[in-house]
Amino acid sequence: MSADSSYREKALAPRGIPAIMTKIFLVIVALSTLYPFIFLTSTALKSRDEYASNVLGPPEHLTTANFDYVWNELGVGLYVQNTAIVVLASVALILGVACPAGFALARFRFPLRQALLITLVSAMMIPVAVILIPEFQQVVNLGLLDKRVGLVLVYTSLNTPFAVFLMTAFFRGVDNNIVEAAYLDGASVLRTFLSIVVPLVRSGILTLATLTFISLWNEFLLSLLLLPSESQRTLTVGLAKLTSQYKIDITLLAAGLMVAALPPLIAFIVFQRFIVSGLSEGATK
Amino acid sequence: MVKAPQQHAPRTASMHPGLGGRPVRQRETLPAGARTRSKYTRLQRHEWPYAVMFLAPAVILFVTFELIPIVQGVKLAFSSWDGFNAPVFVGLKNFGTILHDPVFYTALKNNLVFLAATPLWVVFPLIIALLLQSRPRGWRVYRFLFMLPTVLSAVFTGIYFKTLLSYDGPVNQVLRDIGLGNFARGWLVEPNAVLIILIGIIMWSTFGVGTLVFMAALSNVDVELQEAALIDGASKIQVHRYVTIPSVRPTMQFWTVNVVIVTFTSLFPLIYVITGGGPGYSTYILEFSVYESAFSAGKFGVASATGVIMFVLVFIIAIAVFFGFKHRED
Repeated sequence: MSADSSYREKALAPRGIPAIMTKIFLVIVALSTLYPFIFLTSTALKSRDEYASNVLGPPEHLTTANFDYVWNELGVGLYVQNTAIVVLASVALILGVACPAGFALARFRFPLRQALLITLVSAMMIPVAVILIPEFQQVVNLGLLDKRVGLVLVYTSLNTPFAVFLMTAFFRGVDNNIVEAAYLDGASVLRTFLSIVVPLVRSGILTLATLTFISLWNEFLLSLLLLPSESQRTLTVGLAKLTSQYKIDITLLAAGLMVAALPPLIAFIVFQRFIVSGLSEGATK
Repeated sequence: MVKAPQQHAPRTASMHPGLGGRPVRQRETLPAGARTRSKYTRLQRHEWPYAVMFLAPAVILFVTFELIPIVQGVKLAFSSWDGFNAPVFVGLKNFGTILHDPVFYTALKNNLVFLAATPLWVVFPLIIALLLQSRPRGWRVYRFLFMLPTVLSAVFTGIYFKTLLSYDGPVNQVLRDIGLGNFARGWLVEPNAVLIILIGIIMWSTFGVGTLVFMAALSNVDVELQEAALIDGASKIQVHRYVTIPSVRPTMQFWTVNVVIVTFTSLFPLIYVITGGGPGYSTYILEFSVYESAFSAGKFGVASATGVIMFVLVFIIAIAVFFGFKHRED
């Protein structure tokens, strides 16, 4: 940090009582974000009987039986598999579709460009509820109901506007001189794109991939509608159904929830720095 | 890293909607006198087929799975369909049905309540970002932790809070244990309490991203201006009020529009899991009526019409908010 910013930061920092209050406030908020994980992990590790008597404290007799049970008996293992297939395929497809499109929109000037951008932005404003039923119709018409491929295509299409929008912003940051230089050196457009430009927006791509992964992994409505049968079901739907089906006891539910929450959490931790820098870049453009 | 003296590149019209034009920063790797980047080049002859090829997949997918369904949806809004027989064109009848339905107005009112909570969802992350701006010890840890709720699914958050706030749940137990048993109640089953609780839960789920966005914006505030104000004797509050906040206006505008859109498009799964629209209709938002019309009543036409109304509402409100910011010059 240069000398400039430290002065400003020190001068604007709260002192004395406000400083202490600030600290306390931040700690309380931080604890509130941490608590779900603490509570649900500790609950998942308790047996049903122990939870009845010991709701808040740490487990006295650790047991992983809940995890075992939800994974095997309650189908969570299958749900994880389905979700993983759908989400990973969707993310890959979204990247494959949005990167070239973003590049084209960022670099080329062609007649329909403006119209396309406006359409993209408007598309991002459409509530899922509006599009749900005709989407269902369309999927049925194409014979894709209850097929994971169908959900992958729908996810990709619905996330494309935002993804293209984001990638366009990132590609704009690439200096056109580099592209021109590559052409002068004899590279084809495709080659330039793949070998030179894409690596330059690597952190943007990773940001998009991570954010999309997390949001699709947690998606509920569309997978509920488009993958109705038990064998194709995804995690969020499966867990929701478990809650309502029979009075499932909380220790099992907690185990299921923690399993479901783990991949997005890990993805976030690993790619955190990209998201932070990616969002910071985007906000200042 | 030594920062070169502030040199703004000549103002190119940044096309980023929602942020307005902002001076484009010179990349630190380029020499200070580098010529202006050309923003777009005219399509060269050899690039044409590639432009088409690069855009084609996105366009095809968009048309197939978004554009066509939207058009179908709008058509459906003017028809009556039960899901089995052929749809029958009925003109504006669906809209009439909706506008005469008291439940519609209840749902609309609930949506507007959440809309009214929007300032809270914008100001809270801003405050947190300001608090973290002075880089207290461990600020990176705070930033990380604050993002955690966004990683959770609506189902997770919903079940967590449902458990926490149930009558025999941890929160009430603690209240009873410390002698405040009178305060123990069914937090999620009392119509008055539940809306407020939901607003809090939604804020908890979403403030992390806002904090990140505002932190980025804050670090771009003109340092010299802030220091000048400090040197001139302004108090910290004054510096923030007259320098910092005005500087992050564009970001506030962007984030507010974003939150408003979220209010109409993304609240459904969470509310569905936590209260299912109840108790009664106290948390029943418009999306619920789309669902019920379609899947309980088998009136797909009415459902689509509700959807159309929702979209028009979001659009108008989002535009209003966007321009509302622009004209509020102090």
